[in-house]
Amino acid sequence: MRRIRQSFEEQMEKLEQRLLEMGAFVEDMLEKAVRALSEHDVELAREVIGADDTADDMDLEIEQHCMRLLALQQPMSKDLRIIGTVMKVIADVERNGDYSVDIARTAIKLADVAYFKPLVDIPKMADLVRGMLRQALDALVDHDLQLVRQVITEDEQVDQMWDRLRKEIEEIMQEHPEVVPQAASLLLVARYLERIADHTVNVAERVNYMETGELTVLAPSHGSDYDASGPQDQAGEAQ
Amino acid sequence: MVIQLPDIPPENILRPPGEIKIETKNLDMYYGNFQALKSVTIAVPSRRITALIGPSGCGKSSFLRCLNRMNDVIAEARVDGQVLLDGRDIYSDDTDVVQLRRRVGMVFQRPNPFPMSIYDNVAYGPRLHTTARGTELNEIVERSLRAAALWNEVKDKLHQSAMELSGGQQQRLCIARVLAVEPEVVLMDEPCSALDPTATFRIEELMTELMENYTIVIVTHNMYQASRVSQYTGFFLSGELIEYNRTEQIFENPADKRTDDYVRGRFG
Amino acid sequence: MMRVVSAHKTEKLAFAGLWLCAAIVILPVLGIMMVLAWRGASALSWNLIAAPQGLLAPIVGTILLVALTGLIAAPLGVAAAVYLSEYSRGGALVRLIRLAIVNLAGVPSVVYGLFGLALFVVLFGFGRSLLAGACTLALLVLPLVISTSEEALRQVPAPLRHASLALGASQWQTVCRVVLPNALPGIITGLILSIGRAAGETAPILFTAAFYSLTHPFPHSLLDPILVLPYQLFVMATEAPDVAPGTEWATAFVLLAIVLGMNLVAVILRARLRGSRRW
Repeated sequence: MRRIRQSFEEQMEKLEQRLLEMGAFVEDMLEKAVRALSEHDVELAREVIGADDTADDMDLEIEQHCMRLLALQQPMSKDLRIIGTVMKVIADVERNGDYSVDIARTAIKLADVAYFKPLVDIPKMADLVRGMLRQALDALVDHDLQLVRQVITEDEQVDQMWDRLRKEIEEIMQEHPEVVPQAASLLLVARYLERIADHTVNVAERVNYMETGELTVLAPSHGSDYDASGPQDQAGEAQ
Repeated sequence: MVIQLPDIPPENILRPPGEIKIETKNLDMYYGNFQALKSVTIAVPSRRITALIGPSGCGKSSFLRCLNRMNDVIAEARVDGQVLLDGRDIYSDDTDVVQLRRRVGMVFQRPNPFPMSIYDNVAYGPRLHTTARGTELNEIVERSLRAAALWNEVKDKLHQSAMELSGGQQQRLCIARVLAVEPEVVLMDEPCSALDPTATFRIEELMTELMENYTIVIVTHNMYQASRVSQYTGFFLSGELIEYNRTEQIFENPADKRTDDYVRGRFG
Repeated sequence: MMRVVSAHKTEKLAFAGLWLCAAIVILPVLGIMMVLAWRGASALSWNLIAAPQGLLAPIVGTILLVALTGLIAAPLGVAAAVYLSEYSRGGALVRLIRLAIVNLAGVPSVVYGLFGLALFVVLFGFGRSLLAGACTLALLVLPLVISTSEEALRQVPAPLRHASLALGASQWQTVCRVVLPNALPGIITGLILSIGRAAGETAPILFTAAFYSLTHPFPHSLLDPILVLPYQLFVMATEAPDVAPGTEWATAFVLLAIVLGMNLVAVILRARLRGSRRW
């Protein structure tokens, strides 16, 4: 008598499983993209770019799965919130895959360029961001609000790192005009990472809704003064 | 003298904003020694659709029948507590049950037209309660059938037997028959359980139209129907009203674990 | 070796057996009619009825008696049935009433005759008359009328009553407008079958209504005694010496024909009324 809707519950578990797989896949793309960047590995970068199609397919497949559950199983209450959350979250995860591709493209562009200094902060930031993504999806699957709070805290760290990095690169650009092209590219990479963190915060916020039923913005107006000057960028995100 | 019971809404029982049409306070109901309702306190808003859901035998139908005193028909049924219609207790000694049932109409689970013509079915109530005859009665019949979205289908065969209509048409005829009495409240006891999906959607659409002028309380074991048509939903379990809230709240994020289990189909 | 009987075979066997039982029920009816017709053949003619001392007066007397019985029994019986089925809510009184009805049905008809003699003929002063006989017979058929009417009322689906009550009809309005019209075919059928039985009763009218006369007069008022077929038959068979051969058999045939005729009317009436009402 415990499990009346066993087959439905199995489908819900499968859905979560697919989401975790997609998260791991995008996480892997990000890891490879940043490694390609620091190691001037064009081959690896191309692999990341190629992997984007797979990530897109995963996105579509999960969305279809969600639609089918909605149409055929009439989920209610928490089941409904889980499916709604997954549908929204995969868009953020997919977007993170796109940013990884952007980073991989930058890696190809900078393949022949010797960095003015070894990359330290960007890989560090990338590690943090990847950890956030994993935690956010684990929070979803394990219904763990502790992990949600952790993601929010780490986002603040990412924002601080981004602020520091931006100032540093801006200073370098002023002092050494000859490195401006590569510095600008690296600035963009840091910016991508910061955006990935923001999308991951979206995921965490959805998990919070899923658990509590309340739709709220958890993160304090994240980002920095840089964001204020970038409405075009925001508009670009919207699609 | 009517003793006013204290007005303490229990946990997870919302009091809807706006005008309240029906209100029960600590309503208990017994069939002999069996207690079918346990201290039900609920406020039903005017000109809205309120759905009552819950597993079989949870008391939702018994509760509905308290609202027009149809339980009086059952010898061993007994009611304690208050049922207020526009603030007046319908179980007080000076209540005219016949008058009450004119104000609070009821549509039953199975379509139950009288074995008479379509016209006579609709005219049944007005003939009892009014002096309308001839043209005046024709107008009431037409108006009621139109309101029940049945006029176009039956206008050419008003004097044929109602038993020849389809199940869905019969149920709309029963709704027309209730509307002809010009009630303020329409109670519906699983009105679509004997109907096919198309007929069901028609009735649901009709309910939404009727909401403009009537207060509707529907008992349904089909919670998707409750979620489609109602603005407020109450969940009954073992004679208790467990939770009462806006429908979207009940189906998206109920407060009580038992409601959650029920709407997710994990009741066991 | 196990013998396997196919379901088909048993089905056929069962059908044949049931058909046989049903057929056996018909046999006595046909048999009686045939014997009566055969033995009475010599006397069975138009003259039997139309002659000055023919059966016309007893036939008219029987029909009058039966009609009056129906007129008395119907309102009483239906009213009692409506009370029992629609208004009573159980309790000691209702149990007592039901017990009385069951027992009334079991009382031998001759006891009704004596009771009718004491009550209607003597106490009420009706004398040996059409009225006293009809009252006695009404009492006799009352249990049957009540139980068939109650059964007919029960056949009216409860949802129809609820629909009416929920529309604000009172109990009485519901009974008058929904329950009775729908139970009417059953009530009428039950009534005709009941008084059909009364038509053939001899014992109750023996002391209350019937008399034997060679002049065969028609009754002029309710308080006149009447000639009735069963009593006529009874006298012919036991006392009257100078009856033409076969006359008693022919009389019995006429009586049975009247009773069967009434039953036939009941069956046809039910079929026609049922046809117009479905649920």
